[in-house]
Amino acid sequence: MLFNSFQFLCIFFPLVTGLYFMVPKNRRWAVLLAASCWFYMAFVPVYILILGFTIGVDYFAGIWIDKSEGAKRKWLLSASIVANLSVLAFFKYFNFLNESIAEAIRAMGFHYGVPDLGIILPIGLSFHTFQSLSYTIEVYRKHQKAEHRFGIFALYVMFYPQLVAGPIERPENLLNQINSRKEGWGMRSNFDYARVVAGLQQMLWGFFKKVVIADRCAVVVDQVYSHPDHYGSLSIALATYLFAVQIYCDFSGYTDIALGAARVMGFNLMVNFRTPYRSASISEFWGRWHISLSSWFRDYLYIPLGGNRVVKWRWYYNLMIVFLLSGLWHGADWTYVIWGGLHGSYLILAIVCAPMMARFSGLIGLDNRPKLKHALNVFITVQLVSFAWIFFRADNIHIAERLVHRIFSTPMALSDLRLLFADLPRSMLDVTVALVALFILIDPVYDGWIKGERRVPSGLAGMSLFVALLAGILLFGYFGSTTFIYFQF
Amino acid sequence: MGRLIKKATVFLLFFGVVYIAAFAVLAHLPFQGKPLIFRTGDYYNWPGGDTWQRFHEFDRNVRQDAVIIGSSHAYRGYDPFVFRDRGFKVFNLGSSAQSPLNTYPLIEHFLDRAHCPLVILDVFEGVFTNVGLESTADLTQNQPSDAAALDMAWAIRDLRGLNMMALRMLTRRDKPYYTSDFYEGLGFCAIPDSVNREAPPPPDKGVELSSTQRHYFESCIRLCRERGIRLVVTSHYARRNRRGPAHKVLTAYMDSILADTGIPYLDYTNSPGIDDLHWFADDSHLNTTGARIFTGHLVDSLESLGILHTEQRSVMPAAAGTSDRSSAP
Repeated sequence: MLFNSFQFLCIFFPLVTGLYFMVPKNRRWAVLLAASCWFYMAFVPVYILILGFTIGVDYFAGIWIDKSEGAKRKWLLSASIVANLSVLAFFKYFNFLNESIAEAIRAMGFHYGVPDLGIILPIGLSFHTFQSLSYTIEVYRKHQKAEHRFGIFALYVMFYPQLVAGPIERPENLLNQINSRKEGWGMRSNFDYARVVAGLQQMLWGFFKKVVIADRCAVVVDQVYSHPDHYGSLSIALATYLFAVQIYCDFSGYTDIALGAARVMGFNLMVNFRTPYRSASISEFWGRWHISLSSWFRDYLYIPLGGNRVVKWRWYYNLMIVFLLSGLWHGADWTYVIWGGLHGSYLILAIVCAPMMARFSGLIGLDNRPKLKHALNVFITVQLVSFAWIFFRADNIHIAERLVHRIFSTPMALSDLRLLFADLPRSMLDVTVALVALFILIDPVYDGWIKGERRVPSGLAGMSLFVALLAGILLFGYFGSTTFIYFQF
Repeated sequence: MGRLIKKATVFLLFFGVVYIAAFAVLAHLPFQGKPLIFRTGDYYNWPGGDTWQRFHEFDRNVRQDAVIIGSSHAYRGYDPFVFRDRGFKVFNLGSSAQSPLNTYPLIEHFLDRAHCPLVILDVFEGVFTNVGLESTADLTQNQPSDAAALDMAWAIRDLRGLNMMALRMLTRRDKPYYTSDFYEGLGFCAIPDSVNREAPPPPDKGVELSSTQRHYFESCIRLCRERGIRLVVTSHYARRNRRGPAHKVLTAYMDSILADTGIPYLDYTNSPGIDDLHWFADDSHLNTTGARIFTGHLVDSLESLGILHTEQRSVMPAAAGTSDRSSAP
């Protein structure tokens, strides 16, 4: 079930939220668990069995780890990790590995006969696998008590707002809210007018980003990325910048809807984005982009590998491993591996070149102009991130290679943009570019209001801001059955 | 909760005023020859064209012997003047990409037994695979019933339906933006040109018929039965490219649905002797010649099946080929 579908907006959300507040507080978990099953089964019903397997394994693993001591704990944790990652590996990476091996063997002139199994990736598998793993790891680290009620644990993994595309929650946040014994908090929240309104406003902002910005950008991006040899450097660059906006609005839009829906019911989920394109370095970008994933990798992979408290070469190695795996986490394709590798390389280069850059900055007087220096750093970061997005968006490595080649080899010509303009549905390009420009201006303002960092004007003025969003959705929205990009992961 | 409901009501009323005001401005502010609203979405349809002409000619209080309904296959392929030459008063209410989702409200709001004892519904696999958006955009602007427009806009379960209704309401006094040169009257559009090239082979894959469209098709059958309107389902001649597995999916569905209803399915898709070069305007639609030949064939069948009776003729049959189309409306 898509958040932007009639079924969700007009039936599921009002019904589930209404029921949630109507039933006694100690029965709410059952309403949410049933709703989450309904939500997940609206995609491919049978895949709930895979989710059930993950939940079952980690439920018992958590209890047994909690009860055990010494090496047995480690052994049980390893078993849980292997079981979870095996499911992920089979459904997400089997075809990729099989194809890669087949290509390599055929290139050597041998016959390779293992067929493609035609496996369809269960929706949100990477998200709920990581969320479930974070529970067993936290129990192992004795930061979290094991959950003995199966339904409560199942709800922690399946909580519908963040089930298919995150944020990847941690037990100390979500499980503790589900388990809340504190009146007026988490599962024991009362109907709070201000909180419900704030949640609905956040959902509205999420819909605006998805329907008005992301889905419009997608039309232009899809046109260019599906015809890599047809367009020149200007069109490819424009499409790439629009993809940077599209993926941000698509994913952060989804996250805002998820966070808003949870907030209405009294849950506070993790913040996943903090205006990432205002970052002045790649390292800062990863502190603002998909925060729940980057912090997951930081806490459960980077730091256990030694983080930055090791010799330099090992630090670089740790960074590269984390980003290559982060790329692979997104999708089973070499394009994602390269995308992750690029980000890892950016970070390593930034560390290596830091003393030189500091000297250069002082030499040309940038240190005396901090605002200009910051703006320049933001500009460079956006270029680097956008370049990496080419690999993330391209359907395969050959298309990515063609696009990169054409960006640097074809002359910049306005006729190229005119060609793109003519190839698109009427008014698509100019209206989209105008809306994106408007979005860049209003995003920090609305984002501040939504996150409570700025005060929403009171009375009619405040209402006007959200009336304008809703009217914008209706008048400028690009409608249809468009899914969210991160659902595929 | 009471406070939320009160505030939500104020919010929605405020939104309604802003939305209508903004829409009215966009719908009337010209930009590069067309109202600005056209720049905001590619699904808007302006009043005008053959659908507007057809529905403004059709008088639901005048008795017809039959009404033809369906997509562009219907309004281009079923020639009411051939019926008239044979003594039957027939009107064609086909419209662009009309799918069962749109046909149902048209039957509901325009047809009853007293004025239309027989409905001839053209089907092909394409109407069961589209979502009905194109036809809804066309019909919400160009047919006169607000209730039918509202039903169609609601049925697509999409906010575009609301925008289409807003456009209808805000442009209802506007004159038609354009008219069709091919409109001949009685709902019929004639395309004289022939495709004149070989048809490609049919795709080797079947199609999946939309559950929504199947639901509305079955609702059309129920509605006609409730109203005592006789229904005949037909598919007109097809070129080679459409005589493939996709059509078999449709015939299998028709066989299963119509089996116990007594409703005949007259399928001319694979009729012998179809001239792929000279009877078609394109890969899908009949041209004037094809429509005349096909409609003659259809009338023969309807008469031989006893669905159209000689004694029920409403108009005097004309000698073949003497039909005066210009006097039709």
